[in-house]
Amino acid sequence: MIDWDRIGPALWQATVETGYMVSVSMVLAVGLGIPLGVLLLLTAPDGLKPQRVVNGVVGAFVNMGRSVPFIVLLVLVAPVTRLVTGTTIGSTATIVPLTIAAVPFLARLVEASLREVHPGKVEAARAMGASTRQIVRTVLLPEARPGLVAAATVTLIALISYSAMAGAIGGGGLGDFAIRYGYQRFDTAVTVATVVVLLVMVQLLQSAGDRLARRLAHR
Amino acid sequence: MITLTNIGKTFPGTRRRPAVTALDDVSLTVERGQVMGVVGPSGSGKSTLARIVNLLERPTRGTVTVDGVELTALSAGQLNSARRGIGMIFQQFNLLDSRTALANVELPLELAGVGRAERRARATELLQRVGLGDKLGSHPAQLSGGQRQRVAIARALAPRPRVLLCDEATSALDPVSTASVLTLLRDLTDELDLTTVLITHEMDVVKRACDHVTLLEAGRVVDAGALSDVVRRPLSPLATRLLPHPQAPVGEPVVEVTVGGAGHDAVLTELIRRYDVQVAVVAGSVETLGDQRFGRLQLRLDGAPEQVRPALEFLAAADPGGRDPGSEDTHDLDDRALRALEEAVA
Repeated sequence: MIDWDRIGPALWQATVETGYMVSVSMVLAVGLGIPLGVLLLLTAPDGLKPQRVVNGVVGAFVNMGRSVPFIVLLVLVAPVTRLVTGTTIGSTATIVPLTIAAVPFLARLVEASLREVHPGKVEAARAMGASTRQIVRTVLLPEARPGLVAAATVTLIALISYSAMAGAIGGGGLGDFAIRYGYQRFDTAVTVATVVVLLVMVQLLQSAGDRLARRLAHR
Repeated sequence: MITLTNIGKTFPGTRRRPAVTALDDVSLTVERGQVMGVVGPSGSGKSTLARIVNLLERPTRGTVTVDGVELTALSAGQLNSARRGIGMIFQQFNLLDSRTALANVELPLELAGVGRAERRARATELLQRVGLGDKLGSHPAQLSGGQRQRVAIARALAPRPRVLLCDEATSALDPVSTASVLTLLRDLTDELDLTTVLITHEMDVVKRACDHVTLLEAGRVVDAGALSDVVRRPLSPLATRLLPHPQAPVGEPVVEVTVGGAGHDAVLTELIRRYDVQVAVVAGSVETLGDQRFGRLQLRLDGAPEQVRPALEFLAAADPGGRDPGSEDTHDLDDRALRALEEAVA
């Protein structure tokens, strides 16, 4: 049976670490991913400000970020991680690869959500004399809000799963905990307990995201 | 108020489809206060034409002048402020679903930097004017099609434009909503001294709401003019669509006359008072165009030749359109009718 007195605090500690890694990288991903998604949309050949070169370069960067498996990305960006945080071990270090993985992921989802906004609405705003900046701020982003919330939810959940993967190379958090306490000590019950915590976390976030998206959608 | 000069618009081709010339040397003038209907079959370029007036679409050739400003010569920033003087409504309304009716109407004012209180007051007043004073807080999804178009009209008028563009504004509406939206547009045009361009594929919309009309076909202007003039040119392509030629029974000697409109509404009364002839209406069609009633009647005149002949001449003079120099056929019809009548009398 699990020795809760011994494992409990460690499990709690791991959960807090996961929460920390995921939330910080999520904030950074939203801060960078949304502008990047907007940029992808605007510079597309059929966008408001077509820019072939910019769109090509940003698109290639985004595709590259998305095509590298996360476990490889972790190793690949280790020098960057060390440069930014001074270490490659622990939850703060893990924020760097998590953010690098989440930004292009979210950017594509943001681009897709913005594309869902009916072009007639953009046209109406242009007819009112709106500048491109105004169109983004008053039409595209508000009208895409339900889609953006759904995109953020998907990204958040992907981040939780990535953060657990980072545990494999000493990234801290629930993944790290499951490997050290569950796998390496042959204590399956601990592994299952970790899975339950992750499951509850994902479930709560997904239904919160869905509820918010529904409330924002006035259809 | 609106002058389009030698407008050409060609959409460049791609690998899969060839280039398309949507408009070919179109010139069009809409004077202040006019309601200009632009009709034509789908693909005739009429929507492109509407979008060229506010430069949503840049013409390949030609110039666009609205309210004395040549839009085609403006910078992007100047164009944005010029566009605030041109309201536009669309077939699909294009309201923002995330905003209430009130916030939708406020949008153009927000874009123009108008303060919150002033915005709110103006938007409320406009929504009340279009009959939606009780729907300020409703989202578009909670409104019917006709109500949404009313919100869109209020939104278009919020920045006090001098020009209103309507691109198939009633095509997505049921007949009842169409009628009420057209009446509203007509009233607002007079009330606010608007100059309106109304793009439609329905002749009925032109009959009800416009005073001028332009027919586009394959990107060219085929016919144009004031409704009351066009209808009197019986052989022009628009005249037939506005007021169909009635079908008289074959073999009856008849003369066709277009009556109605300012100065032409008492032709039959005059005819009977002045000449000793019997007048029978053999066939006819009557239409309300704008706020005037027009009829195209085929008449049979019976009586002594010395009465019938001057009566026919009177009709010809009263309906100069029937003697349009460009419409030889009408002339023939009258001559034929004249001969037939003379024979019948003799």
